[in-house]
Amino acid sequence: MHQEKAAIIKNKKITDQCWRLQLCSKNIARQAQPGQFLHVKISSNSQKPFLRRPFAVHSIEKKDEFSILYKIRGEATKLMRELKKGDKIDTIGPLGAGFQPSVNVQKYVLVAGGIGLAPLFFLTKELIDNKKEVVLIYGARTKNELLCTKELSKVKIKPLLATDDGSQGIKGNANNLLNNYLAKNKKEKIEVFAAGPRMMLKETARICKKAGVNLEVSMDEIMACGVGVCLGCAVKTKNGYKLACKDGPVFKAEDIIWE
Amino acid sequence: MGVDLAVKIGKLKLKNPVMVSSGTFGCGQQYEELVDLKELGAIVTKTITLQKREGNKPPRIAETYAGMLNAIGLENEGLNYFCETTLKYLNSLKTPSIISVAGKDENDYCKLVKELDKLKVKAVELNISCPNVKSKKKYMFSQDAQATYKLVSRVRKLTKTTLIVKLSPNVTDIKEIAKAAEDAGAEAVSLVNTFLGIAIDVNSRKPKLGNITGGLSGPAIKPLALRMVYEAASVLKIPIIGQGGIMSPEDGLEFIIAGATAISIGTANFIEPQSAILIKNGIEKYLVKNKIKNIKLLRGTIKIS
Repeated sequence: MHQEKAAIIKNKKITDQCWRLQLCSKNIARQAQPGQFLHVKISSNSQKPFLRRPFAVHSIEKKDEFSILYKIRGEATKLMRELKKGDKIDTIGPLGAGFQPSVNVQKYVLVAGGIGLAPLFFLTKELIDNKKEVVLIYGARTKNELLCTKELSKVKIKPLLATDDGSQGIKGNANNLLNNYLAKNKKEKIEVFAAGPRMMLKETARICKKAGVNLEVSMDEIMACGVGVCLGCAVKTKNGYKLACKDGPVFKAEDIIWE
Repeated sequence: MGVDLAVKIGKLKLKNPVMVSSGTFGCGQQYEELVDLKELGAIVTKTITLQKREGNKPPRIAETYAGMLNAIGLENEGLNYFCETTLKYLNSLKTPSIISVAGKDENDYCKLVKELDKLKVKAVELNISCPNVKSKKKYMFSQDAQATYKLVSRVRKLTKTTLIVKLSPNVTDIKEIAKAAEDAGAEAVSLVNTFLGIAIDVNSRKPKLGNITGGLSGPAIKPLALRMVYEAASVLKIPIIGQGGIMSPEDGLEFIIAGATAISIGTANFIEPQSAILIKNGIEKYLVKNKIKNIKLLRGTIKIS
């Protein structure tokens, strides 16, 4: 865990709603594991937004550069659009427990919904670098909202795509694709990793449980400290409340009580 | 010119007056990679209770204007776990720790303090002002002067350790409650805990917190907390640990000028883990600049003509 003022290399709009922020930090770029996150102080001289914001590490670009993806949602992300090359932002990271793929698995199936692609892109690259077989299932609302299509083809991944309006891939969502995939590949030893909206993850968990495959999910929770002291980001599990910032953000889906 | 920052809270000697508030710093361990713990005046631990507590239903926090609401619900592992693990860690630090405790009734507080007394802890803070825990009473101990007096008196008889009482700002007259704590034998009061608040999501029309209401902290409450410290200082002889939205050295200085002996940093830790140290350094600079040799000489020097 480090705290440092990371310099901005690039801040680029990549779709209508999403941006990619590339930052320079040796410590974070070298230490981050897929699924871990950063806690970012967006404005250094104002109390708006008041708290830091957590972002999943999206990609390690070079030895000392990495990037995050953000979607314009509220004041904090609106402010982030204004960040320019050379600006510095205070970051704490890498934080939390990331994905833990098992060794003896034939296929790693990654299920991303929308901006949930951010941590799963990092995991995809890591698994491919380790010569693992990866299937990436990716759903978005519409073709124009699909993220990182170029970057995915660079790492030679052809994702199975779904869009709500059918403008690319199947008409439907990532869970529909996962359901079909698991039905067709019953004999393979598969492990699933998912990130996306809570309602999607809940359904992903149901599908995986029914198919008898292990699933890890990355949970988004509102957070204050990011390091396990405020106990604000509680996730209800079979073993009591756990913290998204410390015990997670990645959890075994079978442990989570979804409600 | 060197300046003297040391202060005393009861029998506890602090090398500087800037501590970190309960529930905002864990037991220090979580921050040891980011913060030089020995620079802190003291660490007030996350509140412990007799039994393990699960805490409240999420969401537990909501951001507000210049602050945040929380309703954690005193989640903690309970007294036994604390004594067996956390306390060992705290005792290994050079910085003194103040153990925050809370109970559902007087007996709970007595049992907690008795146990901690056996382990020779240096100081205890009675948290009688958590707004997020339902007890048998309709109100918190610290919302009633008599209840405060009765509880603190009982606990006082059980220990010689430094006893601090953390009070709620959700009261009509803070002077009355603070005086009750002092009369009952408290050696210091912590002013203030959080202000009760609520936030609503207009789309779902649901409260933003699982607990419906929560405690407001952060700079939004600073003038309110400062007013309470100022008022309490006019009637108390014992030290006040001022807290409530302190973000900068100036904020901290205001509390000391209003009458606080020490100050405590809470919510600011979440945003800047080094807050307490930066604030301490800023206060030191101010003293040097204004040729004030000793922090004690600044206490309560508010000029009212």
